[in-house]
Amino acid sequence: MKKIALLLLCVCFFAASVLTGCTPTPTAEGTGGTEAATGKELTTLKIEAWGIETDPNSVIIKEAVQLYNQRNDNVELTIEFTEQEQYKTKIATLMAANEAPDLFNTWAAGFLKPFVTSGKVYSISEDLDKDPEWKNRFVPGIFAGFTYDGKIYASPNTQTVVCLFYNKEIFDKYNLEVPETYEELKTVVKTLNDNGITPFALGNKAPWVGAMYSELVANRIGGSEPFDKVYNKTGTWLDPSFIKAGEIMYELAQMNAFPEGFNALDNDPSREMFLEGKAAMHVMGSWAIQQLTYEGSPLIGKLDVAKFPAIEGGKGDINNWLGQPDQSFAISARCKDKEAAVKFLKLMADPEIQLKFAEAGNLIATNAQLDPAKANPIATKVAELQKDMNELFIFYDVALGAAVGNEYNNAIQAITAGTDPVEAFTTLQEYTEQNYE
Amino acid sequence: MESMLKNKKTILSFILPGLIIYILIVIIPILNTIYHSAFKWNILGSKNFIGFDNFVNMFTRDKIFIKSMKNTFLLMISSLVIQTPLAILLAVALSGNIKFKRYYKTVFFMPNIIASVAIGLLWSFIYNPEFGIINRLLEAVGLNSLKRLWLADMKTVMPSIIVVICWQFIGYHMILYLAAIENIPKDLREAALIDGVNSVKMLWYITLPLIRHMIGIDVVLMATGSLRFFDLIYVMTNGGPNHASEVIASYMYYKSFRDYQYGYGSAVSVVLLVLCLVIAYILQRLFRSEKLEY
Repeated sequence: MKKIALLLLCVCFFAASVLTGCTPTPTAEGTGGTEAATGKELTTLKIEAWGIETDPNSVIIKEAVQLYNQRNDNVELTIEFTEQEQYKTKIATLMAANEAPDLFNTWAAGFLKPFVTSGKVYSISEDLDKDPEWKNRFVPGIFAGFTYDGKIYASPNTQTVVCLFYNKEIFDKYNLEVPETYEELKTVVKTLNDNGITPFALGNKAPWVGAMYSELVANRIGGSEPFDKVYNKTGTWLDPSFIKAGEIMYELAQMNAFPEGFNALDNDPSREMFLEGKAAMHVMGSWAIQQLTYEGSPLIGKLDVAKFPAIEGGKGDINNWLGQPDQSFAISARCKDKEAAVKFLKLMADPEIQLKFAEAGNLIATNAQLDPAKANPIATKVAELQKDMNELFIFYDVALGAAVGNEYNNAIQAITAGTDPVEAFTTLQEYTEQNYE
Repeated sequence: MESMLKNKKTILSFILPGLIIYILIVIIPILNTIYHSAFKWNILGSKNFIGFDNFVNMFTRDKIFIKSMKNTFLLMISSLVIQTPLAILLAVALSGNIKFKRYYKTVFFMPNIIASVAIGLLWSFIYNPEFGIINRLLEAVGLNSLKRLWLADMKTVMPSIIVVICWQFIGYHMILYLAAIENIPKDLREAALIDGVNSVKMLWYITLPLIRHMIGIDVVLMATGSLRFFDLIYVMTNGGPNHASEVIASYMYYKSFRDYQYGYGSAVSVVLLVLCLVIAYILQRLFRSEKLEY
């Protein structure tokens, strides 16, 4: 009896010491590699992607996966989709637990950075250099957001830019011109309000939506320099352009430029408002083109798109676009068969798949040429507007990473709800000093 | 049997399986968390030992933490002040001879068996400024000036959540008190009735003193429960808008799994642990009472 009890205690202590000492250490695993080498066994590669399975882009990605599986006998890809916000948590948890999927959907700059610096991501630089035909498909400069220490870590498939969508029918009805300056915008807002139409369809419950407005406004006022300085830790959020942008956001809110209760409104219902013609304008990323021009959309024939207006006396060019490379995939360092994974990236960048993205209304990341008849007219228009692009500046919350990015979005939301801009940005600056790395 | 239970080894062999599991899934993770709270660590990279810096930052520089601490105490105090008296009154009412007693018991207890996520969604709809019943009702009776954004307004978000929490838990506390009241021997009440006390005096001099031990237990349950409250807030507001409804538990989650500052998140949870222990201890001391014998 005594011995058994002693034995149990030993087991207990042993288990305890194992568990306490069991903190994840980054190790590169090579399981499955041997199987692939024999050429007989089936290697399964797992892909994690964000989005809803029925989203047009998700469907295209799934088709690409199927195509890949048909063409490759000894590799099988499986893909799993997770809703965007949950996906961010999921991928970070998987990475931390050293259970990263072989391939994963990623965003640029700050999102991928911690994974890269901790050695969890495989660099595709060499593979790109080995296959110039693949590398040259991409539009120039698109890899900038995925380059860390001179090495490229992910390949994008589409681009996203934030545009000013508007309802032509409403604008014609009230004899309005698309605003090119802030003063013109204010007149438009007033006329629309007088006629009982909500000027902007903004659902700011998730505060990144309103932050897109303020990022554009801040850039129009001060150009890209103030933000670049924050990014490089040489400047602060107390730059007048940020504060002025906050004031403008508050002014717009006070003018009822946004729907009643916009800070409690989700993004989806706000898009419904725009679709139904209850609101005249919608500032949103180009991903919304699909959601606004689907077959049977009430906006077909009425939808048009423009550049975000300039601010009088501002330094920022009207041809600066807010956006990012999108639908990007990276290969994790513990991927079982990197060659097979790279092959999937190449397939995604192939005109075969790229044209599907373009037909669905995306701006693509490669220079695949689309038959104009098949192209989405709004996407074509955006591409046209983009021809004079001066600069693409990236979403703040993407560039700065989760910690500080979320706080910027929160600050803007608080300002629209009445918090003093100087106070909000002072708090944000303190937070940034403590948390930005 | 008697002699077997006196044998220490026998006792050990009975409690050991449970004890091992308890140590593995409770004690060790707690120690692990305390250990991590001394590091700056983003889960992915290497850990940097920084001693007590996380705690110092938390209390001296982190405004959001201070805000979440205030909200947590607000939650705890309002739970105690609102729920305890209401739950006792409901229990007293239901212990009397009233019609549909079982029906009321079920109705009041109902919110407790619904999943918190469902409750959160349900009340999110009720509070919705567009189509929610509250604003619609205010509109219908012409009180447009009282319409609020409820969960999206930094001023109304905490009171709105507290209402939901009370609604959810009052039935549970009521059942506890009801059990205690029904344990009071009938002859005590009857004797009091013969002496001619009214119902207020009955409550004050007979019922309350005799359920004192249960109040003590319940207050500790309620206080620790509100200190580590998380689920409804996560579902309804996720701590927003702009951290206005952040509580310690939700902030811990935010820091660990949104900002990936795992060391800091661990430090926040250590503070939460200490708070729970201290407050539970204080409350237990306050309500210490002799063992009742009827």
